[in-house]
Amino acid sequence: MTRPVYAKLLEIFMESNRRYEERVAFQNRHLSGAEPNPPPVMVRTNDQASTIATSPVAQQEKSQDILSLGKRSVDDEGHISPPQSQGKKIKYDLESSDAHQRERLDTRTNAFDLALINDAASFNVVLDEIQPLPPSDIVNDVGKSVMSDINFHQVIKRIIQKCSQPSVIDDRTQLPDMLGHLKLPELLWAHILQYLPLSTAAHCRLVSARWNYVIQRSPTWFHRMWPAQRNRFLSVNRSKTDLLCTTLPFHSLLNSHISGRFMCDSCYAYPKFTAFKHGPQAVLPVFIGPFLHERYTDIDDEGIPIPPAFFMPSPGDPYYINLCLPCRRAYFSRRPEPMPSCPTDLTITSKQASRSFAVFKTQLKGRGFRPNALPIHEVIRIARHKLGGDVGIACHRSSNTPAASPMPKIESA
Amino acid sequence: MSVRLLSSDSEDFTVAKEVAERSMLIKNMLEDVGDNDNPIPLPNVTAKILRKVIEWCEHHLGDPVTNDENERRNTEIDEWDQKFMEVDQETLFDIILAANYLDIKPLLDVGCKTVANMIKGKTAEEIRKIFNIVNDLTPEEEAQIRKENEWAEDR
Repeated sequence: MTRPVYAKLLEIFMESNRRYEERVAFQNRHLSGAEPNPPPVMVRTNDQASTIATSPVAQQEKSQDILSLGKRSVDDEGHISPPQSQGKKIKYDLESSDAHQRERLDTRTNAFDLALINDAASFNVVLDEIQPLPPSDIVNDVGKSVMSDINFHQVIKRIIQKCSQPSVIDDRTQLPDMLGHLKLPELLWAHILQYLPLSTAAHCRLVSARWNYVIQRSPTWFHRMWPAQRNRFLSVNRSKTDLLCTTLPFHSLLNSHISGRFMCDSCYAYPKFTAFKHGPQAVLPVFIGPFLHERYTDIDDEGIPIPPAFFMPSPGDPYYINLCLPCRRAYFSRRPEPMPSCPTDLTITSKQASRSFAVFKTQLKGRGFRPNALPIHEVIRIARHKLGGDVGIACHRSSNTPAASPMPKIESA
Repeated sequence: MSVRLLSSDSEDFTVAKEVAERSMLIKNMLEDVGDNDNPIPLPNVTAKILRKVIEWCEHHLGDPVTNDENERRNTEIDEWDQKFMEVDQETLFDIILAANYLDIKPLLDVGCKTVANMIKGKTAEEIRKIFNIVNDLTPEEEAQIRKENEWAEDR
């Protein structure tokens, strides 16, 4: 590992340690009731703020500080209650609760977690089980693993590179529970957004600061994405995956393009195929927008109808989702594509069918078709199922035709 | 055997016990309270929404309960549910809130999927229009999000 990376790590360790000690001291002081009255007030200088913003751990703590001003207050009896403005009367009785609950509150001091606890008490939202958040000395853990496992340094490098820029969560997204313009609480929105394909959810971050907050901080995404993403961090010890998955920023898991491979939006798998090399077996963009194109109206040089052109949409295009071959088949079985617009009596030869549509003689055997006069609609129907829709056919054609550019990248409208 | 439910606006509904027990909240209440003639108060649900919820529960009375999260997530909304959810936005959100309060997971799923379908394939601007959301992101924040959403070439 290079010296600057060590320096950066050391800097993060020191900062993390300092803030962890501060927090432990604060909790001991206030939760034990030694100084029950004053709500936590933390004054941070600009210098501190700029230092904190360099690490995700520190950033979590920064948001916690901000939240601790508005979200919680400690009353005379040592009760922690949410602020009055939320209108929810939930009390955590630390005095009478058992040790487990107390430990839980101690360790889960992250702001979003507190919001989850508050919400879960008043709404029966069925989310996945909340992933325990990493302790604030996570960087120390990672540091130890660097010392013990030399391969782990790649992971550290990535974390540092990706976390060097603070994410876009500003103070105003942290406080209220309600979205304001709607009656649904944040947790229900998080539940709704889980039903979106990953790329659509990523795009939805642009809707408003609150949506960005909800999407970024929903722990569910990490659960869903992590199993498929584990291979990206090849040397990660199994015992550390939980730790790491909650450390990585949302957008680092979102970056689903790895050496020409994409992550499937539906099953979150990373098939080891690229559109360039393997054609339809790869994860391909499926159009989900409101327009229905006329299909197979154009013909190629040999007079064979061709599907809509295959291209990679620009990043964040809401009209496309990335789906692997099995997911495309499942998707199109639920939402069949429109019938081809070419004449129904058009026929092609078996050679053309195998070259342009990957449909072979054996698949048409026993149907009474003459080998040199295969009905185009039947060939397209079989090819759609086999290759995963028209996009699969288009990809097969473009990767099969030497003259065609395999993955022309154009800007969508 | 029937159960009496009392909506927030004091309307009394009498439903079959099996129908009412689609709601985990009511089921647990009935287990705790036992057989009782007193109506169960539901202070968070209006009569209009409770009527809809009862209609849904009656239609889905015999449905098997699925605990597999993936299966629940990937199942499409059936035709009857699609028609059932063809209501104005406010009612739709009220149904979701009621399903959440009454702890009827399948109904909550249907409601959430309906809203998710309203979002799919829409631009951020279109989504803002649908849900009447004000864009409070600064241009710098938007630029940052776009940058974060980009497909980063990884090695």
